[in-house]
Amino acid sequence: MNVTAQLDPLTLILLVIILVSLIQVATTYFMRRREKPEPQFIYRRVVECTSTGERRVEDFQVGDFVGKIVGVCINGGKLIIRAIYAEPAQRK
Amino acid sequence: MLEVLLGNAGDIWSQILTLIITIVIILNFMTDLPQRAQTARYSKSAAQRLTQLEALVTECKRRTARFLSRLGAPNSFDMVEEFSENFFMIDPVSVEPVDIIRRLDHIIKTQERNAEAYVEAKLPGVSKAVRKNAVVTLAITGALHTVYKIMRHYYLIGRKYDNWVLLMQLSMILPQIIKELTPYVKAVDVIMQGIPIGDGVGPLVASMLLGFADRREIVEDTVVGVTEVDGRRVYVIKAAGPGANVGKPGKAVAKVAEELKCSIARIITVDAALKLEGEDTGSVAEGAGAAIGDPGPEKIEIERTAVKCGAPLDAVIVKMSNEEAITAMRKEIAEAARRAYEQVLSIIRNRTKPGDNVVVVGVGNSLGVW
Repeated sequence: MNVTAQLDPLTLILLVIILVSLIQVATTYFMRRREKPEPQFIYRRVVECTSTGERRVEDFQVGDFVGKIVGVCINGGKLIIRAIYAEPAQRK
Repeated sequence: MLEVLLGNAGDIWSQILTLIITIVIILNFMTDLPQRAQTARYSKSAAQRLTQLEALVTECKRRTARFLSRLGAPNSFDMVEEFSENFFMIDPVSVEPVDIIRRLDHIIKTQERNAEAYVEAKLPGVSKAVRKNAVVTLAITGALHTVYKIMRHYYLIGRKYDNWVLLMQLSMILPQIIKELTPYVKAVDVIMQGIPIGDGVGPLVASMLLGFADRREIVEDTVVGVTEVDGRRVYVIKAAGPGANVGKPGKAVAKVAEELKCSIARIITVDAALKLEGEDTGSVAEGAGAAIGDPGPEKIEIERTAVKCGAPLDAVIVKMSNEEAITAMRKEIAEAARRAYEQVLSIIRNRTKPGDNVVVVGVGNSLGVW
């Protein structure tokens, strides 16, 4: 039994149009880009000892700025903030 | 089943389909129904996007108001609204270009002073650095407010005149505008905390060069310090920090040149530059010219001074996206500052002689950088 043989051309065209439309809608839905989650940042400061050149990275504190002296270190050196930057927070 | 359903109904189906197709053709090609449908669709889409934009602007205003309130401003939200509606700037006449830079400079200065005076009156007790931060956050909020108003204007015009092309354009451009404006809202938080932004890479390099050297204010909001690199006297210019401030680097260069009677071997500008999509953040490049992105008055001053003194003009740039330029400085950019610093030292050592005077300008916002 051949079903298509009993369908007239116009019905066939209608079925094809419906099928194509459904494929298009499905494709558009699945192709839609998912929004990436906003990256979270943490703020760091790089503190350097002027006498030894030793550097360490610490958490930023409000009131910090590059060039600020935050303490003293060995041999009469000063602890100075050399850089402040943001880095992505580690995801748990 | 299909056979039962359609077995003897082929003729009726054919007639119905022929009728439907005929109606569709008539409606599609002989009426403006498709345009009206598109207008409705794009209008709805534009309205949704506009609502998102409004929410973004409101959020920015809320954060700015909270910051101002913490600084002691009474009715901080009213202050934000008042600032947003005022302090616009009208471009000078450009059909007559004579003197346009001086006129533009004058208007910019007037606008900046008015804004600062307004904030000073509202926040009398705060330090200059914090006041600068307040002015910048208000300026950002004002800019977002203006963008929203312009978009709303075009949306209402599109609706008023059933201009579906305008509504379609709005519906398509608004997602991009929202994405581009979102970082400005984040920038408000960063400015409130005084964290250096990507655009501060120029002042950061200048700060590295200066170290603990004495600095003096050479022109309004701009400092100069002198340091020595292998026998060369290096005049380092940057905006006065650590408040949010870009200073007047062009006028500072002109003033230094005047003080040195044009005895300058080289002028080097260091600035953040917008990268092209696909380029790496923090890549350092070198070229010729004045690396500075002001509306004109400062850049032209550097160029004129370089020409007047016959000093070659070098540009060292650190590439980053617009978002990275206005939000907290990323680690890659802070590391790139070190490479840009080495590049500047290399230029000084290789292209000037001991005893020469060299001018280095760290162009950009000095937020969080002394």
